[in-house]
Amino acid sequence: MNATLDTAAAFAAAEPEKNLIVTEALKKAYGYGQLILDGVDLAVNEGEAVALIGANGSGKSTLLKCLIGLHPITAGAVSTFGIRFEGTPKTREKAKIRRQVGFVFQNHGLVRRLSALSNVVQGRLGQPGGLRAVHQAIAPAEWREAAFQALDEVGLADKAGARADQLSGGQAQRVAIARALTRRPRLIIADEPAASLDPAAGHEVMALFRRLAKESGITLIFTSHDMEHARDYSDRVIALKNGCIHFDRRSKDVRDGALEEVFRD
Amino acid sequence: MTEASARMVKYAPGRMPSLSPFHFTMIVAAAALVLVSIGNVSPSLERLSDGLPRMANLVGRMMPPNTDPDFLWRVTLRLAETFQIAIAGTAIGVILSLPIAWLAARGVTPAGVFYWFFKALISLFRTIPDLIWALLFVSAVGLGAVAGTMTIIVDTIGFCGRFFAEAMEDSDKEPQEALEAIGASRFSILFGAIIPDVMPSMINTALFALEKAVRSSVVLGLVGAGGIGQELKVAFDLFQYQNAATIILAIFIIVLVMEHITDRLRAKLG
Repeated sequence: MNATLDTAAAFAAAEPEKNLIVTEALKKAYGYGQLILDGVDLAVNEGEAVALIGANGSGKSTLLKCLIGLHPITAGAVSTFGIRFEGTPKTREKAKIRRQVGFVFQNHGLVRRLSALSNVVQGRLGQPGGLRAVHQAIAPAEWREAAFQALDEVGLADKAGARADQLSGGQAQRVAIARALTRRPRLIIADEPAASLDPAAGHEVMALFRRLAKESGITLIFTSHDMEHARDYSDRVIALKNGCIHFDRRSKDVRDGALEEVFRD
Repeated sequence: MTEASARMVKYAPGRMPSLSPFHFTMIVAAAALVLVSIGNVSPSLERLSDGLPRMANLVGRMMPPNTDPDFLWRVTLRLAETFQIAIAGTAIGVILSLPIAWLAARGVTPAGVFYWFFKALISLFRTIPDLIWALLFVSAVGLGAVAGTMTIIVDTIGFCGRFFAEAMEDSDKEPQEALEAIGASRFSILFGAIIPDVMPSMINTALFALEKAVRSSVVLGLVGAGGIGQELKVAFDLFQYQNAATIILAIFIIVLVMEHITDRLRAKLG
């Protein structure tokens, strides 16, 4: 059930041909029965940058994972890239969806003992023949070059040979962004990408995300606890409260009072 | 009693943990088991005083060790065979351990709930002693080094399979989730995230397995599974104690050298 459906949501819903993601009364409960998502309806258009905000436990991360079938849905349906599924997508559908997605986690999720370049090459692992992307040493030249280019785009060309565990938090997150970008996905999902970074590195990472996604026409959905990030680096802010959409507005229309309300019990 | 002392009595833990009647009974039962076992099977002072002169006599007959060049050459060849059994057995065992450990590692296995079958298989390989495996393989493929190599393979799978699986279960889950999110297959995740993460632990385990294999391959010959042990058995059977002394010294040196090499490798990798 959606508390406030206003301009942004109405705009997305009015152009169904542009919808990249649609959820229909999406519900998600975990083993103990409590609903984490309680009837979420939303539509995200191709090329949009959407910030998901909400308190801890509001269902932001769960929603992201449900969109690509990482978590099974309890009720309702999701349509991602036009592939509609209930419960869990079939293996082939799952592969088709995830092949077009770049995912960035809060703690970067890099393989610590591999070089930055190998980690970025691994962004191709979901592709057909992707097994050659396990390490840069055996990757096809074209993939290796694209990975290096992605590292260059995030300003870390000089760190291509450095092991992931030797990078700072901000650098590691930029490598994770390069990994998400290397095969130019249609959608990048980022779960609190700046949460483990200091404020300066956080802004740097978010600005980079926004710029690269915009330049490449990639749809971006990210979660954040930082209101500044949510407003500054998105076109649209969706607030979740108690598993429901509390509001869904253009970023420029979101006022401080509305944000405070989201985090109030 | 001051207020501070009273509070200490109330809140601070006692010097000795209090025991429940059940725990007390268990400790008494365990102590009784140890004492009864020592009473039944450990050497008595009388047996020791009888045995020591015989041992001294045996050591005397071993001296000096045989240094005949023909015999030393034969021992060298047998040592080379022992090494080959250990190296071939460990290499094949480590390679086979990898897929079995993957299938047995909970939370990582592609075998779902059937991971326990592979865990049980590893336990079977590990819990049956290597000499029993050697007897089985000697019966199956005949006397010689092949039976020894097969024994080391099985023993290595039992050892490495367990530790590889545990390392995989404890491996960093975030990179695995990150790769799963972009559609990587389980196989890609194994080679892309799990193996790079657990590689130091796997190399360490493999080096221990090699050390263990060298020690095992020395004694496998006692039951006819090839290597220097076979020569040692012949020496004892024919009362050629000076030959036996040379072989024991050679075994001592080879095991020591092996441990030194693996220690150096471990230090380098660490």
